[in-house]
Amino acid sequence: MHELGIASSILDIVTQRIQEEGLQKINRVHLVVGALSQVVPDALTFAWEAITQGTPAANSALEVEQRPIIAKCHPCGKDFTVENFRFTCPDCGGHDTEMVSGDELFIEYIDAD
Amino acid sequence: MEIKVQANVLGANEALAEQNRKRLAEKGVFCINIISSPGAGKTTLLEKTAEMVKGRLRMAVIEGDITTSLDADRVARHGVQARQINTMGGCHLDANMIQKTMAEFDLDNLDLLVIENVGNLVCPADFDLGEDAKVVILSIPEGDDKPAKYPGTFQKAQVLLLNKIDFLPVSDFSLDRVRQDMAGINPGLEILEISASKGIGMDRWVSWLEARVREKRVKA
Repeated sequence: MHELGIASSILDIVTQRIQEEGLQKINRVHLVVGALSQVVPDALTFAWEAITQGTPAANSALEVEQRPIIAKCHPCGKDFTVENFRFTCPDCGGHDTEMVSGDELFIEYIDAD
Repeated sequence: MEIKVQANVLGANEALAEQNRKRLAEKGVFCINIISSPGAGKTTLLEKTAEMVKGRLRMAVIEGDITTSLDADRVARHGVQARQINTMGGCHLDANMIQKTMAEFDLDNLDLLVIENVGNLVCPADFDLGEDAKVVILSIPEGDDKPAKYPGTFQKAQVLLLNKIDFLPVSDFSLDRVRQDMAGINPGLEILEISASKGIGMDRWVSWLEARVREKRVKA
């Protein structure tokens, strides 16, 4: 439960970005969260509302796009979506797999004026 | 107007973790990040490990807790250098805290740095500290459903220590269930059955550590 710290990092990054662009107000922040990243979206949006009061991001929407975990099966050479955190290839049933994505936590874009 | 950002939210932490990793690599110090629930036996494991490697490995410990220096005091009694970080409510250690604390050690005279994270099976896994390996401890009294319930942490570990294995006969804990769950969550994981307080399985754990320390030293 470190969502407040994450919300605060997001605010730092987007505030710096609008300053670079010479903009005043943030309307929307689009965040991508992988299923392996242990962030709770509701807690994050709640923290966001609280810490953005009185900042250029006040009343902005924090959109959280959740992405699944993708892994690659080495013998099959194919990517698959990991369900229930089980890194087992759905085709061959093997465990010789590697995570391709799923632990990301990044700001993709913002909407600002 | 829409502006592309593409910025990693934990980027600041990850940059510091990379600096820590580079510094440890230069000095040839092997570093582990120990993660578990409160009470799984992290500090007891470190006390026993310190006794077993005495005279063979130069070990230092960074203890993470919300408050108190109880753990650092316990470990220091076994003749290893120990520093306590108090997060004052924080649920995990971060790379910045480790960087500051690492500066207090003479890394040239160290083989092994052990970081005992705050007792928590969720948050610590998201914060890279610059370690070589994450070691997760699951103790038998906690129950065999923990890997299934906290997969994020178990997925990122290189070693799983099943501690308090002496409790197995009086518990309904299923080793098979843990092995099956872990085969799906983290197939390459090494699982060691130990009892730190009774000294069971500790030789294999120390052998694992010593082999990694040797590899790291050769590369430096």
